[in-house]
Amino acid sequence: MPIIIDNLSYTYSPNTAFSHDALKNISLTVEDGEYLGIIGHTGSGKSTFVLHLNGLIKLTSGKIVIDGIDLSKKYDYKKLRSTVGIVFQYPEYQLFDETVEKDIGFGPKNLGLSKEEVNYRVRSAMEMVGLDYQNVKDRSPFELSGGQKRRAALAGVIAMHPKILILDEPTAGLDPKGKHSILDLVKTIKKASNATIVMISHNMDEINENCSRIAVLNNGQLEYYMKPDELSKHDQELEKMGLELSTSAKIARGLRNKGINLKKGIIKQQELVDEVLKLYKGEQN
Amino acid sequence: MRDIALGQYYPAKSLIHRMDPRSKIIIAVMYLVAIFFINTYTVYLITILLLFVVVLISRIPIKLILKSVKPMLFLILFTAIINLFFTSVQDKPFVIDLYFRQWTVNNIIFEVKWGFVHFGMTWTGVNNAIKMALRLILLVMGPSLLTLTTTPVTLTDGVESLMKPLKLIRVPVHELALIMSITLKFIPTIMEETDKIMMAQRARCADFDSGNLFKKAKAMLPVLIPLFVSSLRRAEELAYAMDSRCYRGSTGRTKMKILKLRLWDYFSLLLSAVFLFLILLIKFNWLNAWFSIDILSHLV
Repeated sequence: MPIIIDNLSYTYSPNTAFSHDALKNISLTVEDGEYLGIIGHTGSGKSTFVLHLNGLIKLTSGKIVIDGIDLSKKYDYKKLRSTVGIVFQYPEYQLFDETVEKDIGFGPKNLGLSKEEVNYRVRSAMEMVGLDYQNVKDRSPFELSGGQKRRAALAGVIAMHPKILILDEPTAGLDPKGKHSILDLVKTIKKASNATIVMISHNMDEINENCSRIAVLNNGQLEYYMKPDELSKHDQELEKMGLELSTSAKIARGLRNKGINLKKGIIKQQELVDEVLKLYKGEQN
Repeated sequence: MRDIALGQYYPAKSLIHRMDPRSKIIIAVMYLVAIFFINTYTVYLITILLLFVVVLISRIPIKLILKSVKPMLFLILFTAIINLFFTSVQDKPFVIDLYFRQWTVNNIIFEVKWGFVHFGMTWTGVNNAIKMALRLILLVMGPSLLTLTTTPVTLTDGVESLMKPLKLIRVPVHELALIMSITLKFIPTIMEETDKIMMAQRARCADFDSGNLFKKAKAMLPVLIPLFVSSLRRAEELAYAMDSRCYRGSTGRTKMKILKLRLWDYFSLLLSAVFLFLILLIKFNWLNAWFSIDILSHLV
């Protein structure tokens, strides 16, 4: 079932000198199996928005219905949190247990699953994120490498088998290779579980290459909610908000300014390569 | 988590905010000493009014000051109850004096005698309980005004400057001040981090709120361990950062912001000293001792 958000607003420390409107009247519906990208500059309300989705911030105004669970009424928080998994920024800082196996099993165990089920889920989650079960399970999470730590933390969330997986800047602080492998991993998870993915990112490249829909937040307001190719018509507005366009879009614009006749709306790497090749071949003939 | 008033700076533009931290600290100390020597309700009332005026000048919401008493509420109630019931029971007349009228009543309100157990409630006990509660509340409110109007950094600067004479007896004043300022500076960061980690573990269905004390303590482990790990990492990073900027302690170190006492500082220091003197004057009845003028001994 989809995520339905209606007229969501949130204010931090209301009625004090520090009062701050983090979200203003946000309404949107995310269909099943969607790969939603949320983009916006620091302080635009992205994190506050996703924290609402699994009840970590209590709903104060507006309505949210997730998978049939109405957050404005009394609900079973365990059910909600097993439906919506959230991977925070730098998730490796939340590892705590003696062994990787126990740490990944923390969530499933809290769900009250049987020992066999927890074990099965830990094993399959580790395999999915590319950690070798036999070799890694008994090691301390603190002696893993940076990339492995992040994978272990991710496994801890996907072992709860969420129908909706939220990732808050999953690639922050990783090298290019690590970034690619995490994004590929998210794709694999999506394919395997058919989960709805919500990814926060600063990087238009990541968003354009992966997402089926984009939500642009600016000062707590939902400015755009549309498909990537539709959003490409609003390049100027995005730049005014202080967002950086994707590399392909910038290269295409640069080439167009030099008088090269490229079509508009190029946002992905592959599209750019295809278009340039087409022109190049056309000139040769 | 965010509602801890003690030690939280409240930004505003006021005469109190702009004061030199040293004079604020000295005034706070004088205030604390004075509180211990108040023995009459009239003076308590005057002190509360004066504190109220200072709060008004500082432009800090009264609510915030009242909130600072909240963590101490248990202690205040506890001492009040102890005073109420366990003041030694003495049977003597007790005078309730409201200036315009006086009543003389029996001191004992009720009394329990049962074997070795002997306690009761007396008017002396009520009197002690109210005075002690007032004293504790005033003791908390004053210093919280200091921390609400002074940033931790300025406060440490003030403390360091005031402790300078101790350098003569080889107290590492600068290092102590540094430790204090680092601690204060990292409190918000660590609080934020705690919030974040708690949220992350909550998202994995961790339950911090139910179960007995032992269970609750155990439930905090998934928060405490990452917190310790990141604090150690942060300490190491800070040490490297200081090292790479050639930090070598206090020798030859100068300040960017040099503290300077202004006219307003001298004025408020003088006022506070007069306040302290007057309270001592009333407490020890010096007017009577020096000039044989006995008005103050009639204060309620």
